[in-house]
Amino acid sequence: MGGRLARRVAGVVVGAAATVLVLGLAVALAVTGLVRSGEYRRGYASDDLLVVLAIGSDIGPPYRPGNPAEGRADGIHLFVVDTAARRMTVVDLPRDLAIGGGKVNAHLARGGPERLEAQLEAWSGLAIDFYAMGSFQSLTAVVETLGGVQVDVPQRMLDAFSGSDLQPGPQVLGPVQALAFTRDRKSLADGDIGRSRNQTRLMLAAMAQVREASVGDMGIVLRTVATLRQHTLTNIPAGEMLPLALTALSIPPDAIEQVTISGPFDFIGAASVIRPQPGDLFQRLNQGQVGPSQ
Amino acid sequence: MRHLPVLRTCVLLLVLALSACTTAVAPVQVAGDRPPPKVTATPTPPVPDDEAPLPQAAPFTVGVTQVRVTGVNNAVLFGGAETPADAAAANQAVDLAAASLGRYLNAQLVDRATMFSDAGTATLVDPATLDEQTRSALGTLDRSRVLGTVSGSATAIADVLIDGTTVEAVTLTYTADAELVLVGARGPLTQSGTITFTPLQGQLTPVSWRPVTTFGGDLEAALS
Repeated sequence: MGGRLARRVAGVVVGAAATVLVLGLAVALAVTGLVRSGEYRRGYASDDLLVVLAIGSDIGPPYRPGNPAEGRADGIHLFVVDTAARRMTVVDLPRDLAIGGGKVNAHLARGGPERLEAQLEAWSGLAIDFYAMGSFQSLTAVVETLGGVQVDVPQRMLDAFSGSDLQPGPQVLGPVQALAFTRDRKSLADGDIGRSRNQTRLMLAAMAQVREASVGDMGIVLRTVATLRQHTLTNIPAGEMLPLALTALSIPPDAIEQVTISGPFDFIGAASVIRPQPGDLFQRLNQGQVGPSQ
Repeated sequence: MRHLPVLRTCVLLLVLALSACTTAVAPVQVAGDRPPPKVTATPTPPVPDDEAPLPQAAPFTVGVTQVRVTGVNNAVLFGGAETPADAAAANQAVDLAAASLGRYLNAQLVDRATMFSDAGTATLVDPATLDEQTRSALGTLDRSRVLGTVSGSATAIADVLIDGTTVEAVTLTYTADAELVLVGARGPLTQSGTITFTPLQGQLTPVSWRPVTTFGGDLEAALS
């Protein structure tokens, strides 16, 4: 008796399931038809390494009135890309590094992005293709465009000067806290070196976010590029900005390496500086060994 | 337990049908980073036995229904007012982009010499840089079964990034409709997509393209 009931129940369940499946199948076929989708992206084509210098000036309206190209560079990063292998090394250059006879950040104020670029080329031996310089507002504008950036904050950060008030752990940073995250050096044991590292941490997090969102929505790439164009001074040709962005977004996160240059503290006159010790970093980059060790 | 085979068959049918009618988006692809696909010779579409006139769509003209302009001048970085976008320059670039898209649509869906082949795709991008899935999404078919197309139309919305008079990018979000006639089957064909052009070497060049082609009616079974 029990067995018969169980078989009847099983029969009803199977019948109902079959009906649902057939109906679902019919609806699916009726709604979609045969769909074929694909994607093409033209990257930036370069036989050599692609090197882009990203500069964050410490002045610029509305936060600090003035020409950002005449300020000091408190964010200096080299994005070194092997476009063929889709690998990248980001080199963080803390502002107190002693390069070109003084603090590296002063070269911006003395001769604009071109002078800073020339000094870094002479010091590193890398041929820099392009520079892009922004201000505090550039960063907040991009974060606003993205609707916040998901960042894994490595430690408690609380600093009245930068305005940071962050608990450690993954969280979405809005424009104000994102700016504070990249400016705060006083909460960090290694000060300006850690700040430089955090600046790249935010940039890579934003890049990963755009990369993920762009799978279904090319619009996010266009909006981000538009924001960058509006808020940066760059020598990247108009038509190359989007291919460059698509190239950057095509690099898998596990093919990206971050190196923060450090070294012993010293003085030039009364100014405290860091004597950079890049080791063989630039040699290997110039030899095409870009990205994490394989 | 004896009903399990029935259930398994139903599930299998559903999975097969869904996988046939929904194709996943290809992973990010950069030109030149894949070995070129094998491009096979494509035969000319067949002539029907009854010698009826071959279906032939009128040439596509991409009708742009809306132009949205975003100024990307960086005066705001220095505290200045943004340079107004030049609407004429934006519209001129949109016309060029729409004409390029129209050339592709005509080559791929109308011109009997190139329709549904890599030659159609080649009007805009090098097919050798595409994977099989994207070539298929751009309309490459087994041409031996194609008799022709009828009644095509295409519309697009344009988004322009422009710095004063310098156009930096034109994006067309488009839909093109036609009726495809195969040997023994016919039905609606719709290609929708988003294509972005930027000025490279003096001409608007596609840098990003997401095509989605849908085959309805009898085509679905015929092409599955």
